[in-house]
Amino acid sequence: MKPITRLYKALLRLYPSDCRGWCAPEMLATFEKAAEEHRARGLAAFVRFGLVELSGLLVEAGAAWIAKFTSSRYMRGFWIPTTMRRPGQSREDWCPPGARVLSDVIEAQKRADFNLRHMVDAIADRDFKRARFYSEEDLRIRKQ
Amino acid sequence: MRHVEEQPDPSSRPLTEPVLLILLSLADKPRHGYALMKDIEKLSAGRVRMTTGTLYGALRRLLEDAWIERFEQEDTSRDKQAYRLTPAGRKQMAAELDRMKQLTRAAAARLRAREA
Repeated sequence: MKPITRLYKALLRLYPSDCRGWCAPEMLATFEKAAEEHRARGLAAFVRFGLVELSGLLVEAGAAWIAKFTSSRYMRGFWIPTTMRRPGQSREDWCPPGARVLSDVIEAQKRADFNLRHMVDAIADRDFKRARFYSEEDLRIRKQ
Repeated sequence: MRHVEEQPDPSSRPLTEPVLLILLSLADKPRHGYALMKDIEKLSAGRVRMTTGTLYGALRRLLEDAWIERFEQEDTSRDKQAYRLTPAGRKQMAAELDRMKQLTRAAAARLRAREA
C-alpha cells in the first residue's frame, strides 16, 4: 500500500463508525483508482490531487459527525438496509452488526404496540383476564 | 411514550449540484463509486471533479432520502457495490430538470425582451 493510501486509510478513522462501516472500503478503493490515474499525470497533478482529497476527507468527516447528531434519530447511527435479504442468506451475512440494533428495536416496538393494542381492546371488552395477560406480556418484553 | 420527530420533506429542498450530477449519472445505468466520479467529470465537461469524500457524503445523504439504493453487482469486477436510482430519485431528478427548464425559458424570455 502506497504511503498516501495509508494516510487516507488512517484519516478514514475520523468518520463516525457506523458511516465508516459501509463507506470506508469503497472510499479507499475509489481513492486508490483515482490516485493511480493522477500519479500518471505527473507529480504536480498528483500532489494537488492528494491535497484536495485529504482536505475534502477532513471536511466530509466533520459533516458526517454533524449529520450523525442532527439527522433523524431513526437513521442516526444505523446502517440503512437498501437491499432485500436474498433467499437463504443469513441475517448476519446480510447486514453489519450495527444494523441488528435498529431491526431489534423496531421488532420490540412492534411487539409492545401489539400488546398495548390488545390490552386496550380487552379492557374495553371488560375482559380483565385477557388484559392482564397482555399486560404481563408487555412487562416481559420490556424486561428483555 | 412515543415521540415523533418532525422531519423536513427532502423533496422540498433544492438539489445541490453534486446531488443533481449523481442523479443524472445514475439515470441511464447503475454505477459504482469510481465510475460515478469519472462520469460526473464527463457530464460537467471537466468543470466538476468530486473528491471521494464529497461523493460518498452525497451518496450517504441520497441513501438516507431513499433516492438511490445500493446493490451488489453480479459481475466479477472488484467494485461489487453499485448504486442505482429509485423511483423516488428519478421523480426528484425529473422535477429538478423541469424546474431548470422553466427557469431557462424565463431567463431567455427576459433576455429577448431586453434586446428587443
